[in-house]
Amino acid sequence: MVANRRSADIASGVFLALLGVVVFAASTTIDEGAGGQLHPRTFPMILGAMLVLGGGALAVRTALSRPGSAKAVPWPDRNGARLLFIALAGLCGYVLLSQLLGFLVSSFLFVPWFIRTFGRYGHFLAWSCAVGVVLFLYVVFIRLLQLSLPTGPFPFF
Amino acid sequence: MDAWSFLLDGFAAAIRPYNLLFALIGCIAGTLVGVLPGLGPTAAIAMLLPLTTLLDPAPAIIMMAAIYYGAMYGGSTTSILVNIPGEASSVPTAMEGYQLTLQGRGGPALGISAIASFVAGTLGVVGLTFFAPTLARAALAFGPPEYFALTLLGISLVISLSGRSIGKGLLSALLGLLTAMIGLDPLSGVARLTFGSYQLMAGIDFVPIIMGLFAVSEILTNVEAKADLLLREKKIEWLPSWRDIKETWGATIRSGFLGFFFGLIPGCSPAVTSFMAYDMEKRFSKHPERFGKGAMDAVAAVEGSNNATASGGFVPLFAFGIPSGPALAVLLGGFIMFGLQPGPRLMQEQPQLLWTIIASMYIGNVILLILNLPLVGLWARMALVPFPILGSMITVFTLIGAYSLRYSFFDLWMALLFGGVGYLMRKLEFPVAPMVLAVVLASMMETSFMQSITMSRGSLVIFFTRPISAVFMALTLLSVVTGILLLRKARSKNIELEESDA
Amino acid sequence: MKRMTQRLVFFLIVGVTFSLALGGYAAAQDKYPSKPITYLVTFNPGGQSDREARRQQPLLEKILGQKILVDYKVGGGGALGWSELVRSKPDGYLICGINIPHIILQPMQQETGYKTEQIVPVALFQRTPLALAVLKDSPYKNLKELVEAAKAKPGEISIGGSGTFSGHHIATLRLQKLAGVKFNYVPFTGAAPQMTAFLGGHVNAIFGNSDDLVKHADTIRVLGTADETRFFGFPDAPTFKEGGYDLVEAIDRGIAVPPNTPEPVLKKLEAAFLQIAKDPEIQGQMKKEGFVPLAMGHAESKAHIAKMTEIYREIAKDIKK
Repeated sequence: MVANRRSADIASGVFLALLGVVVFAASTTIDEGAGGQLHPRTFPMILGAMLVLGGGALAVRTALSRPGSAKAVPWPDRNGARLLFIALAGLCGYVLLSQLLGFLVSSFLFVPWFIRTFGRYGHFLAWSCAVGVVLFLYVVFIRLLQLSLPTGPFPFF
Repeated sequence: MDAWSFLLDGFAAAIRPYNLLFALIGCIAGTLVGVLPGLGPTAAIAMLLPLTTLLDPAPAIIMMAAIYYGAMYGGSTTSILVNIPGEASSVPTAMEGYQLTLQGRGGPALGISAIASFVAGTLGVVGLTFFAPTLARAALAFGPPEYFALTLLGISLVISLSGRSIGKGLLSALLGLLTAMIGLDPLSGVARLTFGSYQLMAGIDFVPIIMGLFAVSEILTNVEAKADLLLREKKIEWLPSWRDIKETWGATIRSGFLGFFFGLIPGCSPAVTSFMAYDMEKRFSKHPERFGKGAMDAVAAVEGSNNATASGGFVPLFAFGIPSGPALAVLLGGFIMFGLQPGPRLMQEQPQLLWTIIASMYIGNVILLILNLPLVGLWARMALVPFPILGSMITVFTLIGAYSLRYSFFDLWMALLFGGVGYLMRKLEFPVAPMVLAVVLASMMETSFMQSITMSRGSLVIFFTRPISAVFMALTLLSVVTGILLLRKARSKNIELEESDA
Repeated sequence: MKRMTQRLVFFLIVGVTFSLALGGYAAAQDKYPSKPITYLVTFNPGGQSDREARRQQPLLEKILGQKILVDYKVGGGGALGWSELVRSKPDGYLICGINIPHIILQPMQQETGYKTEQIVPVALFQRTPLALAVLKDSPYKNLKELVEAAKAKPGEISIGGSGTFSGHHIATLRLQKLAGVKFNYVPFTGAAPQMTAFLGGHVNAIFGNSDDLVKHADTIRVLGTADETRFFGFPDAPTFKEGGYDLVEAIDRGIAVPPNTPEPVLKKLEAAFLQIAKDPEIQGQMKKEGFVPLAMGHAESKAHIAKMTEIYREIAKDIKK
């Protein structure tokens, strides 16, 4: 659908214009502040309107230009898209897991998973990286910088 | 009342082993938090604040100050090597530095950034030493209309940051401005564009935004390309040559002056000046066509300017007790915890302490140079680590960095969201830098506009009747016009180049 | 008979277990605190609230015998932290710094995720009276002159403050009403930008926090203090009451726990905080920094908040017309 730059520009222009409409509409509901010369909604409203105009302009200008030899958008191939999807899921999983188990445990699991999923490396290398990262996190972030990172059900960390 | 004799006394005190030790600790800690993406000097100083109560004021403040300017040294490392700026002030560095890394010149870029940091940082300290009382008044000359004019000048840089497509650059800046509007209105406290979410009421901090736009989207792009080694070039240089230093000399000095003078203005953060230095260098450079493809002088200018800004920020702090940004606000808290109140009185009552701190900054900059130059070769080898290993670690460190800012998982989700946004922007060729610049400037721009309008009771004339504001308005106009002309020129040149290549 | 004994034994066992459990529960309550307590600060590290927490931290650890972890939840002018406070477990292991009038004004302005009544104050320990100040070289020598000038040219004298619908803003509005004049209120995003603009002469006067004004005592002139008594930092400056305006505005800092916190826990914390607040050394440090030390317990703080809520409700009616 948005295989080349031309259609991609039209699509993103339309999307931004729609986003502008949403922002503009949401801005109308902003409460009035106490006093002051201008309503707090002034800036968001102007920006929303500008986004509608700008996005629209991009879409219209591209649509009116000659459709000649537009460059292709470098979308990933099938395998690339699969990897991209896995990476996104992995990142979300990592954040979720950190919330549940704390950063040390989740990082210990995430690092080897990432290494083994996106590269062809052995268990030994992957798990030693995990140990290294966790040790670094513990020594630098928790001990030296005294960050109170969530530790999940393992308060002894 | 001779600055020289005060300074000599200061050096005598600063060089005592005890003070020297804490300067060193501060420099190491600063470099470390600078290198780790997301973690900044603010967090580091805040973390160490309770520990400092165990120390005397001089070593404690020496250490906290060293963390602040030391972090500016470390900030460039990840931007240059893996295209992941740890803070907003290194975003322009990433634009040029990463290209250099891909050309096998990551080492020289890191070396130049350390040297530029040292030279411009020291230049800034010289300014602090000899001109602080005179220049301090300049900090106060900036009222709301001046700030607004300054942010307009800042926004005009979008033109030169947009690359070939001004239209897309402006749209990207608009998106950035809008993102910054989410949350409570900074003046009236009214919730805006929060869609009923209490989390969004606190706004989206720019660290998760930058982490997402750069780090997460970089990882996604590499994953999808099945990248193994980031470095495709065979020939790799580890250290800068004399030629590199000679070529970037002018940029370093210029950016030092620019950074220091803008650093005097409270609220003008290193992030703002580094974009300005980038733009200025693009205009001064003998080869502007290299910008965007790995310009060494841009790296020098950006890194030099943010260090000089860090030094400049101490002027209003020492003169009036006014902090320029969040990190210096924490540092000010440190002073107060010792029962010290920076300002004219402290200058008279405890000149010894202040001069010791100032002297320690000269020493600290030397320490940082000695610390960072040998590390350059080591860091540069980071680019040789295969992506699956490097990527996993970058993910962990950036996400924890983004978390540590406000201890909020919401920020992590935001980082992932902006990772998706950044990925799409790359694919659709929307430049990312204007968005970052806009996020950095948005709040100052809006509040100063609102305040100015309130001051003038509704009249826009206020921006043109006040001299400083009028000058900045004129500069903005000049910047827009010349920016467009330069772009035209560059475009025609590019076409020529492409033709001759073919 | 046998069954009877069995039953009796059963009930006995149940009863003993129950009372043991109860006793244990009571003991656990007595033993509060038995693990580290998190002290939540809703403003940036290094700010006034944080510095107060840091000052209390070692003393609290000594009194309560447990580690105190200072943690931050910054955002929305404190609202983010306070909405977390009222949603937390009421076991006394999360305590949170509070600021008045913020916790009263924020829920009044809009839906913020907490209600003023949900916040259970343990103690109030610090007051920052607001004061109206001009630069030393300003033509206005006293409050009367400023008010006269404002009468002569309504809306032209600008007063800077931090935020709108904040203590500073309300003080300006109250003064306007009491004196029957009109000022031009210019809001800033915090104390630092407010003071910068003031020292640079970009506003005619400011309503500032006492601790910020003390820092610049040499370059400013305080026209009036919005407190019951004169502020020790500026003994020559009259209160507004002396000038005939019933205007008292301050920022009070204290500590709070979530709703439904058990009475013994509350008492224990209250005692600890009051002991620190009454420590002459701590009070001396506060005064040096430009704060007025307070030592209000739970009941007194609650009554104070209720009283202020009434006052602000009246003012809010006026603002929103």
